[in-house]
Amino acid sequence: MDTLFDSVMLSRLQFAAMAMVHISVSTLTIGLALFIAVMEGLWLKTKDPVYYGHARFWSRLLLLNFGIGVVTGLPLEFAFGNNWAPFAAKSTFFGEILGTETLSAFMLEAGFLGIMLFGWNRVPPKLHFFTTCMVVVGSSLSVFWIMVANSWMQTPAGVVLQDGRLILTSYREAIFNPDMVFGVTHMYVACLETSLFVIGGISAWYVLRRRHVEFFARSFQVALIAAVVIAPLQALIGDEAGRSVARNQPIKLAAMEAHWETNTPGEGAPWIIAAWPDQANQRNHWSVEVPYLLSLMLTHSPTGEVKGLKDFPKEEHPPMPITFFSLRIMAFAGFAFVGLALWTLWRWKRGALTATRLAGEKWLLYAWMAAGPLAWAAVEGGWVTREVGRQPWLVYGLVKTSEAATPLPAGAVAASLAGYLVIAGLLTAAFLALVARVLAQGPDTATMAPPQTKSATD
Amino acid sequence: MATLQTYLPDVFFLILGLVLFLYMATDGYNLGLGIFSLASRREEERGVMIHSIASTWHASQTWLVILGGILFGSFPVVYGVAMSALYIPVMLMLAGLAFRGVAVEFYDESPNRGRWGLAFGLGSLVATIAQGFILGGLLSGMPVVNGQFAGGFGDWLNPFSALIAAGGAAGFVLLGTTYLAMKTDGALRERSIRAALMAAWAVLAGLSVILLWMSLQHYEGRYSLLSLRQGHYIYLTLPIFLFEFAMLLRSLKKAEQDKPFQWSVLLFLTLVVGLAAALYPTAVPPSLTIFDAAAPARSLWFLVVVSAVLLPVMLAYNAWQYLVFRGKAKEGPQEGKAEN
Repeated sequence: MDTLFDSVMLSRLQFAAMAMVHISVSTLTIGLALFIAVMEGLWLKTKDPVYYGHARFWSRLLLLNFGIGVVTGLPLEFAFGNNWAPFAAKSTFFGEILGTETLSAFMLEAGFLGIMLFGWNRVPPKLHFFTTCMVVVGSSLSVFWIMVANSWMQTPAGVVLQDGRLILTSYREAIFNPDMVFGVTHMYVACLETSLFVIGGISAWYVLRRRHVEFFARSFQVALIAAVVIAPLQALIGDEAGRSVARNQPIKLAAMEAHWETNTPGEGAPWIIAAWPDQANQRNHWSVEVPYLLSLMLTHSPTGEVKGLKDFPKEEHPPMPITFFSLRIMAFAGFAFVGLALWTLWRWKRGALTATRLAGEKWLLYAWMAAGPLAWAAVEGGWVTREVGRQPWLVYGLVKTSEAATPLPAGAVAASLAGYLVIAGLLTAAFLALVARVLAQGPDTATMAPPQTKSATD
Repeated sequence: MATLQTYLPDVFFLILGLVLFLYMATDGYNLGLGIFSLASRREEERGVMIHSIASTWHASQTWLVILGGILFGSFPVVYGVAMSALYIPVMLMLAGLAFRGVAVEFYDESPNRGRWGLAFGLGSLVATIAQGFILGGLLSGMPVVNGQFAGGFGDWLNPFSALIAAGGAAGFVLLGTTYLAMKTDGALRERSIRAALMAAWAVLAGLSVILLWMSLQHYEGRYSLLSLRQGHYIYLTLPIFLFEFAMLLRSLKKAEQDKPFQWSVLLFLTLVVGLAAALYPTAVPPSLTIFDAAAPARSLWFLVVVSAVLLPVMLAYNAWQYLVFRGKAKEGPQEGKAEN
């Protein structure tokens, strides 16, 4: 990694770009599909047409979102052969899990999506609800499998290294690797959290502009009930996930926390709120710290030992400042969401969030609008921490990233990376423009009447 | 069990053949329809074409995802070798598919449909040509040393793969136009049938030139598919192919409803079977066999159980989806009015 322009580095950048684009889209697909299923279920239960209207309105956004999700997911699958061919040959487990994911999750999603989006008038309501649920199951399963594969790369288990190949010894251990439960739940809850802040934020925007206030007060209320539970839950899961990193990937943890020196016995390791780390000289230029907090968080004792980065061989250090800052983006966003959830809960208890009074809660609504983009920043920050923090390993402790890259001409990878950025940029811009258009149009009353009443008027 | 185990690579050879066929038959008509849409001058007509596939294209494209997933899991060496050797055409295919897919989803919501209609057509064309070069590049032969591709970065670009790309594009247009003939009425249906006739002849011409080229290469002692152990098996499927071709022409001349599409799909099935018969047991010609390239038996057992459970289920709900959306496509979005 001496030069930025060798093909390994370019392949890493390309994969990072592809993953960061795809993750921002698919988090929304997963949560939005679940939200639509909840709305459709409420409609079937209560027969209140507002819920049907919501299912239809958010489906328009899901359709736009799904298009980008599908076409940005495909390059990731191919990248394992294109840019990481030796990895495919070195380890069969990853391919098996990816294969299982395509068979169990992706087709379930794609096979039922057509009926979910276009089949409202073609199948009976209950059967339609079933197809919506299948899309939810498919998208949720895809989180499960991809996080099984990724957590195995973080904390590989059930394999032994033989002649440069990872031979599987136990499926149970490989699938239920130490990080799996934290990885799966943290990511799944992140999908829900991002989506509900996006849904809540869009609803807040309509309420603020006093358009369809009653209609969007309903989706806002559903989002806020979920947020009050999910934001604190995610903070707790994140805390557990951090302890899992401390147990299984201590080097990553030290890099995440800009923790250079192991704390001397009897003294606690501080938690650094902000700092200017200097990897070359292995120190922080300045830092703002909370004493004892890092020890307390990780060991539940104010003076528990936390190994510093200097105690590990330098060639195994990840790019440290990126890991440190990306974690902070995620963590501060997480705290902000807990704060927002508490604020919302307080206003709710005071009865300020009914459809009639909601529009008066100007600042709360603005905060919700800001929460959507912030949730995306949190997801990206979390992924950068997770993946950059694993470096220089591809499979932690077993396979180095540099050993797993296809020996490609740097020019070809540079060209494909540039092409990817241009196309992804174009399509994202078009996506945002169309979302803005759909939001400006607002709910369209023609398609929002439930099918029974509609066939009566036809 | 032990005897069964030795046949696991063969089982995956069959499964991959089946999924390749399913991909070609389903996304083939989507892509071919996309290419055909470039010839349309009326935006309403392009709208009908896009609406006719809007509900099922996700599933079609997912067969490609599954093809990649199973190949990765069962023959990881093939996955690595082929994808690194075919880096450029794979990237071009992904770019084409990106524009195609997004165009279908954005078409109805966009104020400038013309632009997305064009993206739909050009994306389909690029993806089809790139897929032709991918298949052609693979069949042209790839030197493999120690499980890694040892050839040149531009090997995929040769006259043979160009012929496959041209023939494949004609084949996809045949699927797309016969599909449209099934899904539409009036002037568009008539034009589709005329275009299908031309595409059918183009497929036959392309196949003849490809066979001639391979025979000449073989005769001159150079590598071609025919030099493989079972290479000559490809000739065995010719009578079936020609019979199906005659039936296709007949049903096109009679302007039948669903039959032309069905015969076109059968033509593709025959081609995939012929190709598989000629290749077996080679995974990457000329020398890498499915037995050299297969994942360890334990991995294959894992995946064969997963596939045996899930493939039939997937086929069932895919069939249901086609059943729900049977009938003619409309100018407006499909969800518009209730059917009855």
